[in-house]
Amino acid sequence: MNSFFKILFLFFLIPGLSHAQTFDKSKEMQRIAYSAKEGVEIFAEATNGQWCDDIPAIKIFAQNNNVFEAEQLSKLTTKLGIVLEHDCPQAGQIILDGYANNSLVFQGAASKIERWKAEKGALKIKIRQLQANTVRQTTTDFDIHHWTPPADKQKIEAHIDSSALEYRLYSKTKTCSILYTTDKPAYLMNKWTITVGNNSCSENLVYGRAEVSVFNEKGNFVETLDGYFTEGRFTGRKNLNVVLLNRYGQGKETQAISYLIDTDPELKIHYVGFLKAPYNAKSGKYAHWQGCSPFTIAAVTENESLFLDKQITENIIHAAQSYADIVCNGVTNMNFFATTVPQNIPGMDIPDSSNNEDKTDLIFSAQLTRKPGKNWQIISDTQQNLAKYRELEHKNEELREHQLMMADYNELLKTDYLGRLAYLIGEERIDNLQAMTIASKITQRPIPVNLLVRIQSAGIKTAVADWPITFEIEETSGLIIRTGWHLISGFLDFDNKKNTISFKLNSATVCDQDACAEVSDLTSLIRRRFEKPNWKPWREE
Amino acid sequence: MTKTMWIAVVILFLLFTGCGIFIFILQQEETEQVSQHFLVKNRIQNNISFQQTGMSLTDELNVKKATIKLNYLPNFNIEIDEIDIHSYTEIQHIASELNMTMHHVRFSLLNLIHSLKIDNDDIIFNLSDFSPANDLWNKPLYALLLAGADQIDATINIKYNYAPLARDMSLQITIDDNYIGRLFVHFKFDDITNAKQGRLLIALKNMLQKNVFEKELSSFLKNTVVTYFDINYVNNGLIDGYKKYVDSLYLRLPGQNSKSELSENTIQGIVKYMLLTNAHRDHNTELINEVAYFIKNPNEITIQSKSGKSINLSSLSGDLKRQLTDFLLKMNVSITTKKSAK
Repeated sequence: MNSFFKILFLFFLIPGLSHAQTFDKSKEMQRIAYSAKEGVEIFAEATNGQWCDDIPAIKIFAQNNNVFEAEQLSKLTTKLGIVLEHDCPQAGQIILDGYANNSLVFQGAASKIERWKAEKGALKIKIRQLQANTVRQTTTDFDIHHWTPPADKQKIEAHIDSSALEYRLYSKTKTCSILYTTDKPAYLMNKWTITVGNNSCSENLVYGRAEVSVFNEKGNFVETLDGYFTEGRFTGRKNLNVVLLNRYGQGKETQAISYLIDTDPELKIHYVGFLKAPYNAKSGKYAHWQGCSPFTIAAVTENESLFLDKQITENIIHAAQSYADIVCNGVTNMNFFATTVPQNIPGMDIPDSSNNEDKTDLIFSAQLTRKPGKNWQIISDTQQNLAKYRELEHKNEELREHQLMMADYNELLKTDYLGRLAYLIGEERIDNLQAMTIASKITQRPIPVNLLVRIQSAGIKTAVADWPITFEIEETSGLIIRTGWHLISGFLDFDNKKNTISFKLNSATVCDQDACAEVSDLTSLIRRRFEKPNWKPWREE
Repeated sequence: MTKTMWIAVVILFLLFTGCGIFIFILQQEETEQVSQHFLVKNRIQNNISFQQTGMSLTDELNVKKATIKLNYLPNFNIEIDEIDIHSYTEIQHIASELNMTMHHVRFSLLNLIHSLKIDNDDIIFNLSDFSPANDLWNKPLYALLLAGADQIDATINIKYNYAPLARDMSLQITIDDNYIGRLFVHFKFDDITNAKQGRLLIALKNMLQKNVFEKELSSFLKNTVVTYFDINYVNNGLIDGYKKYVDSLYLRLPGQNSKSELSENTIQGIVKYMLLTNAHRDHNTELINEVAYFIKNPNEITIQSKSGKSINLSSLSGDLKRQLTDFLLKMNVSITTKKSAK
């Protein structure tokens, strides 16, 4: 038996000897193959003992990094594919995590169509799986404040801010134009012209490779823009075939523009890149649009909870790293942001001059660097996970509130029924109608009271109570809309001439049970008061 | 009868009538003088005023439209339609007997509170914080108001007897009001010296003039021996009013028992409390059951001491509740209620 069949033999036989191992608290892994010779063990993530799925999650544990070099890995995954087609025919793709000495060194995927050839990146499937629950928890639609790119990535017209220093320069025949950045006044720029060589215009704007000469209002030559254009904007030697979004004017020093890199409807993330055109004081001109020094990318999402999980955060950053390779191949510096809106974040699209901790729109930020051919590393002290920070603050706030609620709970344990009724409506006491009627009789003035009453008939302007006595409640203003038990607050007045009482209503709280007996349940009482339906006192936790 | 005889009869009639009128006027002047003299002698002429005095065949003195004023409550008056002094005797200038009835003794409890000039916030606080059990004795005025009595219109009879030589005193008071009901209280005291009797009168006088009477009353009660007492009360709505208040305070819902009635647990608690004075549990239970019955069916109740029992009030100690319990049990009281089909 040659070596191939030995390995294949191992792959076919070993699955029968495989056994489940604990992966973490919630997941288990099942070994589906191993090669003692290669020093490789292959596990599949299992749920309730089942690992086979349309897209199984596979983890490869190796003793060294060599296994994850492209050629070696593809050989391995091709053999793995044979096992999968035998043991799990429904699998069409796999998600791969590669570990060398228990450190994650590779993330990628492979598919049956591609003959199980391993591909680096391709993280969306994985993220989708990991994040399925998180995404489901969000109630909002796929909508980002102020801006929503189309899901099909069709070309959209860039929004140009009124403060952007940008003018449209036409060729003399008006058949072609560019969007030119300059600080010169508009009345002059209306007279500037261009000539376009080596290019055909699309929708009246220069696209792709072109050589554009710019002439001033006097017809004098200004400069030649020789390179690539995207939607009429000059990007130098960079052929950037993307959809441009918003053009910002941020003052004379720097001009900015955003562009759509990718949209992930599954995770509800828009990946947005940013270009800058810096002003050269010596030449008095703006440089071409550039976005690779550093590469700046924002994951625009409303789903802040994505960044509460370390693994998910890492996966999103990995996705950003993949885009860095696509847009700016070989780039070594990257700024990554996660925000709820794609603008006005210092360091992202506006100058990095202020503290981002106060920015409620910002979720996460980090600066990454890498040496050529090496993995990206987050520069220490540049990572800001405001989602976690806010979560921590929120938890602290919740803890403080919990302590307040516990204090109330303990106090209420010693409080009588009337005291609990008063607590329900946030008042100091519940009054006795008879006693307060006498008080009004003596003082000859209206008395502010809180009463427990049973409403016999409700109306828009008046209501009638039949307990503790029958009396009319005035000025209800729609506050009492149903019969039954209520806690009411208002002014009680005794008319000595008519020998009757009048009650003018200020507020009313409807009760569910007879005599508002729900206050006997302290937990429910505090939940209702603090509007925390799931709160539990410590003793119940 | 002849014409002359008719004339004689008419003249005699006129003569008698004239004499009658003359005697009536003289008598009225005399009674008024006597009354004023009595008030001046006791220095209460500024506290009691009246419009008219007279005499009837059976009574010694009759006073109409009397007004009682308290020095410390200038805006508060007690109006009395009529006072009948049935009998009054002094022995060596010491009042030894008085039997009087005051008809329609009228005053408003609301006016009384107004006159006390209590701050409005304090009134509201006192009423909202009123404790039905404890404040019944501490704040009787508020208790009456909460029970629904805001106007008093009572007939009061006072019978007082004092034998200086025997040092015996008997005091009998009957108050009859349309809402409060009828309360009869009869006490007999022993070992009352003239000086002690004087203390009692000073206490009464101070009630009118100074609102400070505790010192004199304490002096009167010190070492006073009670040899008999009898209390009878007929409810006329007061107890029902108070029960209604207590029920509303403790949120009595339709169909529930009154919150003011004594539960079996409460009864046992009181019986236990009474055991400290009297070890006869059954007897104690009988007494409290009668009280509980009266609270449940407020009609008529009588508390009466056993003949031959006596107690020196100075021998009582503890708080008021303890003293009262000891007093009742040591006097071996019987409690009876009128069982009715109410």
